Amino acid sequence: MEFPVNLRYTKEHEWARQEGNRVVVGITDYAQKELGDVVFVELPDLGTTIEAMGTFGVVESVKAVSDLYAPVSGTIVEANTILEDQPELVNASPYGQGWMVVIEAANPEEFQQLLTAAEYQAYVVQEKSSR
Amino acid sequence: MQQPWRFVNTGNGTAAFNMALDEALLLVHEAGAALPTLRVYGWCQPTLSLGYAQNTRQEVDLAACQAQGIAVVRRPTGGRAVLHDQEVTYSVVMPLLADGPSTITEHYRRIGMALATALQSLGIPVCLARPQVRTAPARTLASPACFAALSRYELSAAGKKIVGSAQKRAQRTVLQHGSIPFWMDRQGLFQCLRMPAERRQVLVQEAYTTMGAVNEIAPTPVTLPALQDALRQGFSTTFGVELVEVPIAPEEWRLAQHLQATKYSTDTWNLDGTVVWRQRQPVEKV
Repeated sequence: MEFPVNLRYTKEHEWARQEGNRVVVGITDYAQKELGDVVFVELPDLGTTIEAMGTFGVVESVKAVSDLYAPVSGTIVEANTILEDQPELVNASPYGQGWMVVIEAANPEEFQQLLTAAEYQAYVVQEKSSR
Repeated sequence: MQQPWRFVNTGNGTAAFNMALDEALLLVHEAGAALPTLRVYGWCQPTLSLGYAQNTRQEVDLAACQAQGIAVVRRPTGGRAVLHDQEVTYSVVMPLLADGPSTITEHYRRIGMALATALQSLGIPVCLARPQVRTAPARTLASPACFAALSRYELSAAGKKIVGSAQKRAQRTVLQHGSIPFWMDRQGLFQCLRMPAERRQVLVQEAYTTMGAVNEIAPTPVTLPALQDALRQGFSTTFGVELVEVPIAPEEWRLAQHLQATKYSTDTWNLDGTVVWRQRQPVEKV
């Protein structure tokens, strides 16, 4: 399972990558494995404003719809609409072609408050060990 | 014993009300203001419910539904189409699991065990579908009907799927609801769905070997109260909790009424569907 060190993470299993004042967002390798086959992704309209940890879309895997949570607040400036036709990219390439949205961050400090790769990995290990 | 759960029997409701109350229970629980809940209910009229991502205008024959007096509603949960008629519908609103992985599959397994306990107590020899690694068929190739495919930890009896369930997951709360039919109207279900006549014929025939219903399999006829009581007992036993009858709170009623009026009664939600469908493909008006 991959935990790229250049990314930050949420406990709801989103990843975030900072590019200047913009933050690219997707779901983690762990999340896509837990979800199973992703069959549908719904992303927000461009220009939508969102709060940190507010929902920005949904992902449907077999038999379940799960909310997606924004790691930072801001405005949606890009959405990966390819996922509408190819939701399986979320499974195949969660950190690459399966990216979901780009947020123009309203408060750049929020990014620094997200989990580091080591912290997220430890969180996942803890979650798995509860089985 | 853990914190008790609430048991509510809300009787028959309209399609919009039933979905609105399930979502209201989820939202109020998510806000930390409600007990976990097992709700049982029925439908004022036959209703075709669709999964969140199903494209109503493309997949449903709305004229046929209207001619047969069948309501159409889109669910907040995933999965595919279900024709609700002579059945008990259950809905569970519960927190993420504290004593194990809180995955989709694990919730299906635990709730499946509770449903199995309930149905077995009525003499129905159900089993949980075993997990298997598989690739989901493309949405366009799969049957649009929920009962046509058995997913992990769903229930079958005599080789036929007899409970169809779907989930919605929020940050701290899971809603899972599902249909437990007494009888299965296979012809009626597929008449609601758009497809070439030949394909419909094939799917209806297949449905006699893949879709089941409680009173098609039970050794003695199961009544509505008996199944409702069995569900209450099954969840109590499986989750180790007491289920107490606590009414729906005023806050939950208000939120349900709001969602009923602004979401589940509207064409925007039920027919025009998700943002994705609206943006991507202008479809013919039916």
